Amino acid sequence: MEKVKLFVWVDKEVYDRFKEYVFKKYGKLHRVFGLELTKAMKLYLEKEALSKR
Amino acid sequence: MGKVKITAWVDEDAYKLFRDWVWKKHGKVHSALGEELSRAMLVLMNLESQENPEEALFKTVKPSRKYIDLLRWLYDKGQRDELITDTAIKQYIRFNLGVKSKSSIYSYYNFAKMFLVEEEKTEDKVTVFSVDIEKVEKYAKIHNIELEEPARTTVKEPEPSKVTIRGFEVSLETIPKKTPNQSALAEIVMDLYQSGYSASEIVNKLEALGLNISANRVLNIIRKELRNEFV
Repeated sequence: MEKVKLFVWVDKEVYDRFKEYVFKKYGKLHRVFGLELTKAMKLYLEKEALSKR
Repeated sequence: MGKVKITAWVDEDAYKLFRDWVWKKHGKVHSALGEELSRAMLVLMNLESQENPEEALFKTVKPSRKYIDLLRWLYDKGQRDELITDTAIKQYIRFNLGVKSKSSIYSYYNFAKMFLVEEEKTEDKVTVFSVDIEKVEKYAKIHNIELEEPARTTVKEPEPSKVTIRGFEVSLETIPKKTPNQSALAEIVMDLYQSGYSASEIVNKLEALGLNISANRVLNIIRKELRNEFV
């Protein structure tokens, strides 16, 4: 699985909540933050595709 | 709303799919990618916590004074069962709320979109919305906003003449030109270029928007804009 570096500006409150969520889940952020972001993107696309049906 | 820059390594395929989807939805990647990624993060968190995503989103977005004015304006339109276009919303944000920068107008427009239902997209790429009053009331309740107060107006709203497009009454001022002017085209091209698209990919994206522009012209625009940045 190829990786790319993502640079993006996001809402600070959402970012803080997301960081907390990842930390609670794994007890760390390194290596898993991007994993959860990928998961969020995939899930969101699936959800949007479903809502259009 | 405060913003922070995220730097992370993500799966390339998922990122490309997401980026393309953002482009299709918004016609640009710059600023829209961050907005959509924020929503994606909320969706994931809410799925795990089983919280209602809409409610969570409403809680996350704190209302500023201008947001409240915009909300009241939307509520007023909703109560009258009026349909509004994307351009009319942007004009209200610009002229009535006094928001000038494009990125800020886009943020306010995104805020408004939380309460809108897309009804129609015309051939001229005008999006016609209706207002979901229940959502407006829900957001107002969460943040204790009184919706009945009159919206603050800094500039007198013009009286537009109206036309009917496919049964929808639309303000004439909301109908954009079919082809963008030079600076708008340069903005689209640079937005795509800075998002990592190649010249041929940009040509394809523009074609999808109904603009037939050669790769050479795209390259010339990029060169010119880059030169301008350094001057």
